Amino acid sequence: MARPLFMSIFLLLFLALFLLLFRQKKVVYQFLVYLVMMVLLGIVYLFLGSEFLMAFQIIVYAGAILVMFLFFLYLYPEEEFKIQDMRNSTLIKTLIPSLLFVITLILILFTFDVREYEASASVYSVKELAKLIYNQYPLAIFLLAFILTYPMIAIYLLMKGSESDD
Amino acid sequence: MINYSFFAGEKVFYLIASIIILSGFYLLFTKKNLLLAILALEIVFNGINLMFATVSFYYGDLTGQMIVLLSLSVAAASFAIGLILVLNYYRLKRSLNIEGMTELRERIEDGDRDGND
Repeated sequence: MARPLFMSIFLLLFLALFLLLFRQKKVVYQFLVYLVMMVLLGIVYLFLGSEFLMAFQIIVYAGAILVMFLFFLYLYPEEEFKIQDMRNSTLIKTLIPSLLFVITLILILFTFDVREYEASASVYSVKELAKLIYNQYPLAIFLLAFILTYPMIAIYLLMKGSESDD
Repeated sequence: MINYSFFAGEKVFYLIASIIILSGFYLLFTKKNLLLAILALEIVFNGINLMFATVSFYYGDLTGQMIVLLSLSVAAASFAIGLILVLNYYRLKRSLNIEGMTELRERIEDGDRDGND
């Protein structure tokens, strides 16, 4: 009984944040709305039985990426973000595929019967995920570690290049 | 009487994921700021990740969570590189307007239009 109640509250919260994201004129507030959205998404991951993803989502997105984003916002002058809307013709052109997407989704959700599956809660533990990572996906983890060195090298090289230009 | 079966199943997760994807696409197409475009792509990433996690949970396969884990890490790396590129673009052009990014557009000179020099 608690799960449907919480999920309906989350759905309403996401809809409210979706509207708030477009109503805000200042970019900093849009980023803060997105920050709240990411924390809520982490809690939704908790309802899907993946605690590790919840921790990862909050630490990586709310903790690292968005803080870095907010730090970057202070580097730009405020005039850059004053006029940011597209023309009305562009708005109408993007509204049509968006509405088509929403209508199709609602039709699929309410007309076709999606088969319900009972998830086994014992499978979804961090221990099982770690077993899967280190037994079936060692190459993927190795590649991931390699990919994660890219931004560090890129930041070093680009910052060094910009310092020498100055 | 409210039907709670919709909120108890997997459909509500798909709906939340589609709201997130839609907000990302709408932000990407309606705002003409380069920094907001990167943020919009990150929002789309998150919506797709939620769909992966939902399918993983309801279909009893942990591979979906594994894909989300890899996708989040790669998104974080690409995001950092994107921010550096935006910063350098701003240093060059002193603007973040997407509509002003026309350096790679093909320019046809009057003499080249007929294939002559």
